[in-house]
Order: sequence, then structure tokens, then C-alpha cells
Amino acid sequence: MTVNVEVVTGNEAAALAVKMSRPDVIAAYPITPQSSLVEHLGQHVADGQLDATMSEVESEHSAMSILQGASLSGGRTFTATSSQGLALMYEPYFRTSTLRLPIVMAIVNREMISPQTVWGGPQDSLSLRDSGWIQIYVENNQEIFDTIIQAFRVAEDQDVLLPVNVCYDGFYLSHLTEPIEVPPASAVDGYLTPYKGEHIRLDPDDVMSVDPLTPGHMLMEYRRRHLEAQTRALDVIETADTEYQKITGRSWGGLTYGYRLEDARAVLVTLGSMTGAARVAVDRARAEGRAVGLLKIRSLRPFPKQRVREQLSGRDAFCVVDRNVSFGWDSGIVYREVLGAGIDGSIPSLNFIGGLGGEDITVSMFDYVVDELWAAANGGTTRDSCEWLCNPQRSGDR
Amino acid sequence: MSYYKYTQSEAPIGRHLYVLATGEWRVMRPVIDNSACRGCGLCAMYCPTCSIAGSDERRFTVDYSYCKGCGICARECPVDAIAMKPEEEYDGEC
Repeated sequence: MTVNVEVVTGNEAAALAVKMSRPDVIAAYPITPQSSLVEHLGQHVADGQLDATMSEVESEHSAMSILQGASLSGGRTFTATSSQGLALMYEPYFRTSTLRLPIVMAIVNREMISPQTVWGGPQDSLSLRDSGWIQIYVENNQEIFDTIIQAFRVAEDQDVLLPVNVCYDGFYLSHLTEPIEVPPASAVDGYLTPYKGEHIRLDPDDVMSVDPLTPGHMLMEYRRRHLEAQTRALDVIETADTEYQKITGRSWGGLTYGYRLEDARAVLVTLGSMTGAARVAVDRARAEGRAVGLLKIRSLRPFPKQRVREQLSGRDAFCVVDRNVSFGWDSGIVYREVLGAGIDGSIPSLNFIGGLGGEDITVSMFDYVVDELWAAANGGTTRDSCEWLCNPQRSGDR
Repeated sequence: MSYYKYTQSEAPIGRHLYVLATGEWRVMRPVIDNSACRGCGLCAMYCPTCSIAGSDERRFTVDYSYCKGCGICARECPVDAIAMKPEEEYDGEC
């Protein structure tokens, strides 16, 4: 099998994956840091390398609404957005999942305003985690490429039929360049079979009214089925990963990714691009004889509660580093999600918040986190509040 | 009795015309005493949901699938032949 190596930014990697997934309709509105993804997609269409209708809309609300119509007509569809664009899209965003339309959308994570900012952070998509979409968070440009292709397969699976977000950190991934391996088109074509939308569609030969006024007892039935589809997606995401491994040799672990976990007494939990720095800190701790492991959450929705419970049970401590906040919990969102998996409450746990608004979460910060984690594993206790990771040279009034 | 065609679909779709079964709103149920009814038909004329139908024998019946229980018929009946009774006594029967 011929594998090409491309040296690309995260947004270029995403556009390449979309091109190889052969969508019928793309509708998007440019917003920092997603903009170059839309530019690359427009280029692929203009060059004749992607046979898709590219709709340049006047807003994100329109982008998602166009895709709803295209998906209802049986098309494979893609869009991407960030931050304030996602906020403007919220009304059709929620409706896409409850209409059970398998639209794939990249969210190039950007901090939420205010204060005014364009830099990275997954506050935008994490704040919408209960909107019914599948949300997968990735670490590097190769994983962006691979996960977007897998996302179409997961979304369109007849056991799922849900939209999927592939979320990656703005600038750290969207604008930085890495080499990625690109499989041949024939391999991707074999992996992704054409979408058959029979559950809800606009078809003159099979007339149905879409989204009629629905009484509460039936709305509850649809919600129940939606929850069940999210649960079934747990298996489908795993299968999509193993089947992808057969054509590319690469696995990202499906729902979660573990690093040096087997004999770890203490586990560091991460999400997104910070995982690279965390891995270095874990290696340093190991070199000093401390049994520390890493657990990266890939699928936040559906949340792999059983997997997380299994992987954190029996440890001496765990901690979560969040690049986001959960207002009112005095902690980050992922920490609360992990605690929600039902882990033995006697295991000490810590929560750190850092990297907001595009601030770097450095390896030395992770060294500090590992020190605190290791202390917790050796007789420490759970802290009820988060601890902030700040660069002392950039803190304070100037 | 529901006029909503229940589907087994994954997604919110309607395969048939959606009809709002206003009878589900009813709290008080109009009950016609046929021994007192003179067959004038005022109840059927005033009914805002056209839920009262007559017959050749000038007997009037209420379609409880649509009757909202507004009580206009009972109010207008010149011989007080229509009583408004609490719905829970009927346990949802149509």
C-alpha cells in the first residue's frame, strides 16, 4: 500500500481528510482559527479534486441549516466552526442531533469571549457537551486526519445516526505543521461506504413530515432512543478505530488512549493537544522511578464511563488537567465528567486548570502536576477546589 | 384514543397528517341526559370544536376525542340537559 507523507497544518490535515471522505455538500463560514480549513476546502473544490457543493454562507446558523437540508436529502455533509461561530449556530446545532442527522463538524477549539480572544481552548465545544452530538477530542494533526474519516463512519452507522464533532485545539494544532501519513484513496473508499439515510429524509417517493409538533410522551420516546444511540456509539467508535487500524496500521485507542498505564499507581488525565507535554512529564517521572501513567479522554460524548472507571480503579491517585472551566463547580469540566464515572471515592483526586485563552501548558507545569499527583498517591487527599497553572512570568498586573 | 400516528422511527417524523387531539385537554366532561334533551341542537351549533353531532332521531352525541370540555354546550342548553362532570370519574374513556 502506498502511503504519502504530507507536511501540513491541522486545518490542512482536516481538509485532506474531508476531501478523501467525499462529502456531497459543505457549508461553512470562516472564523479564526478555523478559517484556513474553509480556504483549503474551497481550494480542493475549485481544483476539481473534491466533487462537492461548496456553499459560502452568511452565518454559521445558515451553514448548519443548509447541511440539515442536504443531509435530509441523503447527502454526506461537513462543516467546521469555532467559538462565537458555534455560539451563533447553537439553535440548529442542537436540532441536528435531535433530528438524528449524521453531519460531521470540526470544531477548531477557541476560548469563549469575554474577554475578547481568538486563542485556543475547548470551552466552546465542552460547554455544548449535552447537546446530543458525539464529541471526540484529538491530540495532533495525524489524529485530526484519521478521526475525521472515522467520524463519517461513526455518524452514518445505522446503530448511531448522530452528528459527530471532531474537536482540536486552535493554533496549537490548526496552525502548526506536522508530517502526517495519508492512505491511498481506495483504502478510504473501502472504509467509508455511501450514506443511506432512511430514518428521516426528504423524498417525494416516501413522503413524511419532518419534525412535526410532537407531544411530550413522544418527545420522551425520541430522547430515550437518542440516549440509546449514544450508548451504542461506544462500541461503534471502538470498531471504527480497529477497522481503521486494518487499513492504516494506526490505532488511537477508540474511546480513550492510555500511555504507560499498566502498572501506574497514579494517573494523569488529559484532553486534546496538552497530551503531548503530559506524555513527556510522565516519561520524566518514570525515569525517576515513579509509576505514573496517562489517560487521554478521546470520546467525551458518549462518555466512556465504564472504561474510565476500569482504568482509574485500584490506583492510588488520579488528577485531571482542564483547559476550561465549569462555572459553579470551582473546577474544570473534564474533572467533573471523570468523577461522574463513579470512581471509588476513597482514591485521592486533584484538578488543575491551565492554558486558558491559548496560554501554554508547559512541560514544567506538568512536572509540577506530576509532583502533586505523586504526593496525593502517597498519603494525600482529594482537594475540593481546582489549582491554577499560571506562568509566574506572565501573571500579575503589568 | 390517540389521533397521533405512533411511529417506531428513530427520528421525529410524521407519516400521516398530524391532528391535535384536543380531547386530551379536557378536565370537565359534558354528559347529555337524553331523557331531558328536546333535540333543539343549540349545543351542536355553539360547540367551538364541532364535537357534537346530531342524528336523524335528533339525538346528540359528543366526540370526546376533540371535546375540550369548555362547557359552552351546558351553558347554552335551554333545558339544562347537559351536566359537566369531573373527567377523573371516567378514567380517560372516550
